[in-house]
Amino acid sequence: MSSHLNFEKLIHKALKEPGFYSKLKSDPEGALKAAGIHPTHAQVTALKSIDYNSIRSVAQAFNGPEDTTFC
Amino acid sequence: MRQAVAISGGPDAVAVLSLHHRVATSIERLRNRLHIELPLLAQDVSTWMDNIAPGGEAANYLSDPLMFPIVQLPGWLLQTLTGRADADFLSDISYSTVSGYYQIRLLDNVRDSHGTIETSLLPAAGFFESEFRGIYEKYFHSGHPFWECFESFWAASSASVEKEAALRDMELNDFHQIAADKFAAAKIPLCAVAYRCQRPDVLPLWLDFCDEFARATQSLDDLFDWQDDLEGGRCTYFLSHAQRCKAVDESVAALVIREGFSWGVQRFKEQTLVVLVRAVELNSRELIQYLEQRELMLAAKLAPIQEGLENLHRLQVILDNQNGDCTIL
Repeated sequence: MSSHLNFEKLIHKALKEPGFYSKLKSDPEGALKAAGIHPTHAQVTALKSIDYNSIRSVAQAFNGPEDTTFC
Repeated sequence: MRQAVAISGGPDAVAVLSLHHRVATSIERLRNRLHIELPLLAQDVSTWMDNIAPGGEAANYLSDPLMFPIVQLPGWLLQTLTGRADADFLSDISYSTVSGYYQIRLLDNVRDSHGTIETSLLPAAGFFESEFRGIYEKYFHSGHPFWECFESFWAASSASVEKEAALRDMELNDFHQIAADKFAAAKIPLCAVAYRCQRPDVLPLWLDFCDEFARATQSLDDLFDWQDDLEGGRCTYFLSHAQRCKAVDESVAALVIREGFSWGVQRFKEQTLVVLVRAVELNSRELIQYLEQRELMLAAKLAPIQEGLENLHRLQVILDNQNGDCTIL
């Protein structure tokens, strides 16, 4: 699977699956592997710089119980 | 706790009348009428009205400051024209507006396939339209110029849905027209207020404001609903732009995360400036206060989303670089 397709799948999981962001936060390597992405050691180290709580905000804004409607 | 205030006039009286109370009263009136006119369907329709409201309470939904202010606008216009409330008239206008909203929403949901329940509720569409229109028959005789506005804006609202559904790619001009027309029904109560006060001369500015606010609202709606729209295959200006801007091997979603959402926010901010300029011309203190409050609420909503998308993009950059480089160019 190409990295683009994998990232597609990852976006979908991050934004649509409740709890995926917490898996990403606690065990990014395991969460990514479950999404079909096998990060290198350097990538795993870099993944620590990600603010996973902010990704949760995105998921909640678009899909959560506080889904916003304007009309 | 919001309080209902019985009013018969006086400065700022319209502003004092609780929006939530007015909406809740209208919804209660609608539920009562439903039980009389459509007894077999009434309970299901009533439940649907609550279920489509995030939070499950219809009155909270329609009085949410982030919603297009369909119920507030006529009151603000009335305030600028008379400085006092015509409580019965405003109450009727609110009832009509709420009925019209549910008619449009019911048909929209059937069309967008948001749910299957709406199909079984379709007979209620006629009821809602009848309630929406019937109120105005109390105030304007047939042949009154108000009815020309009514027919024109009601037809524009319906036609916009058809036009939007036929598009596979939306240009800016299409967006401007469709967004304004989608909200055209909101102009009907404004026309009712202006004609009742015998001041149709004020309508051009208020209707122009309505168009600009509709465009800002639709921009925002497209921005927040981009995932659902993408999955549902719906055509929006935002997604059309993303489709045009994405790299050959890039998905629309990746483009949205990389830069599309920020572009949409910037567009919305520019549109908001246009709205504010139009609003100032209307000389309505309540409207300006509403817009200021809304802007603050939206800024608080948008900032964490943008931060989260930046982190998602950083994640993508890391995954694209085997050496873990997360420099975003």
